[in-house]
Amino acid sequence: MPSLRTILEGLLFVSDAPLGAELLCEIAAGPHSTEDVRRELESMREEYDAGERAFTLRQVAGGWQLRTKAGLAPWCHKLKRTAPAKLSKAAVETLAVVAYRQPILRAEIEKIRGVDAGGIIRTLLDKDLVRISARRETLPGRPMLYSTTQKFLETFELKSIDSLPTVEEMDKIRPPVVQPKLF
Amino acid sequence: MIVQNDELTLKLDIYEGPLDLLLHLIRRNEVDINDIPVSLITAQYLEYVELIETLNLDLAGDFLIMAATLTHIKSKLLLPSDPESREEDPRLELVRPLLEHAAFQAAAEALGGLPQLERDVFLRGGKGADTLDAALPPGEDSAPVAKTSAYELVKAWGEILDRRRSAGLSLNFMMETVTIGEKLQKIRLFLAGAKTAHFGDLARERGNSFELALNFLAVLELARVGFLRLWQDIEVDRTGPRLFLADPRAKESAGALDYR
Repeated sequence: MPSLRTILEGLLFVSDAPLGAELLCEIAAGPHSTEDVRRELESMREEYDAGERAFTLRQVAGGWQLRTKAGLAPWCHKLKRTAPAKLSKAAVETLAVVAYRQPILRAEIEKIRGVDAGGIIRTLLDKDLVRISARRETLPGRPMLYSTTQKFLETFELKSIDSLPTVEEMDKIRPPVVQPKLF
Repeated sequence: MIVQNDELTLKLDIYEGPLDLLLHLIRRNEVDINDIPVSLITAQYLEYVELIETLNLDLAGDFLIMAATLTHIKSKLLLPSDPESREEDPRLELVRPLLEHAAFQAAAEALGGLPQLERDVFLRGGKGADTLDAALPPGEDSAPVAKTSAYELVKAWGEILDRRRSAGLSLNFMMETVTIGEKLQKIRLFLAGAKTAHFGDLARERGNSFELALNFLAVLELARVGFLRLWQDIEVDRTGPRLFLADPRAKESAGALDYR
C-alpha cells in the first residue's frame, strides 16, 4: 500500500487541473482528514522548493498543481517551439482594472484608463481571462459587468482573487468613507 | 514610433490616451500630482497634441478634450480667488483620475510581474489551463476536449449566421409554427442516438434564422437541466462547441419542459 504522500504525488502528476485538498482526500480514501492531506501537501511543497527539483507544488485557483519552477522558461519554450505568451501593456492594464475592481462596467474601465476599451475587452474575452459575469440591472440598457475567470487565476498563479498582489498606490485611491453630517 | 523624412528623425512615444500622457509629463517634470503646475504641464501637453496633429495621426479626439480641460483649469487659476468663496482648487478634478490611473499602472506592473503560465512556468504536458473533466463521456476520438462557455457558444452562433449570410441565404421574417418544445424534442432524440454532435450540425438542416434561434435556445435549456454538456476541442472544433449527452436520467426533466 503506497503512502499518502505517494498517492497524492501520483494524483497531482496525472491531473491537468489544480486539485482541491477535499477532492484529493476523497480519492485517497484512507483514515486521514482533509487537514492531514493539506499538511502533507504543504510539506511536499517545502521539499520540492528546497531540493533541486525542476518542478514544485503551487496553490492555484483553489487547488494544488505541479508546475515548473521559474527559470526553466528558455528551455521549455525551445522544446515547445513557442515564443513566451505575451500580453500587451494595454491588455495587462485593462486586466488589472478588471481584476481589482470586479465586477466592473466597460464604461468604468474606460473612465479609469482614459481610452476606449472595447477591442481589448474582446481580446481578453477570447483569451478566456475575462468573462461577462452579470448585468447591472439598475442602469438603463442593463450593461454587462466584467469579471476575471478561473483561467485568469491559473495563468497568474493565484490561489484566489483575494491573493492579488497588494499595491500601495491602490490603497490611496480607495473612495473615502463618507461620514454622515450631523449638523 | 519613429517618423523619418529627409530633414528630421523624430522619435515619438505613443501614449495610450490623455491620462497616460498627462501622467508621463507629471513624472518627467518630477512634480507632485496634488500640486500640478498647470501652466507648465498645459504648455507641454499642447506641444504634444500639436505634434499629433502635424503628423495627421488619428488620435487627437480624446487628447483635445483633455487639452480643453487643462486650458479651462489654467484660466480659472488665473482669476483672482475670492478668499470668502468655498470653491475648491480647480485642479482637483484632475487629481483623482490621475491617481487612479497611476494606481492601476502600478497594479498592472505587479500583475505582469507574477509568474505567468506558458511564459515563465509550465505544466506537465503543457496543455495549458484547459482540462479534461472526469465527467466527460468516453468519446471515440481521443482529441483533448475542454469545457466550453456560453461565450464560445454565442461566438459559434455568430459564425453560423455569417456562413449562411455569405452563402447567399436570405433571412426572411415570417410567422413560424415550430415551437421550442419541438426543437427540444428533436435535439433530445438526435443526441439519444448520436451521443455527441457539433453545435454546427444542428444548423446544417435548412431552416430560417428563427429556427436557428430556437435551436440555440433549446441547446441552452438542455444544458441548463443537465441533459447535455457543452465541450470544445480548442484546436479541432471549427464548427463550434460540441454537445454531449450527459445524463439520460435528465431526460425526464427535459421532457417535462413545456414551451409553447
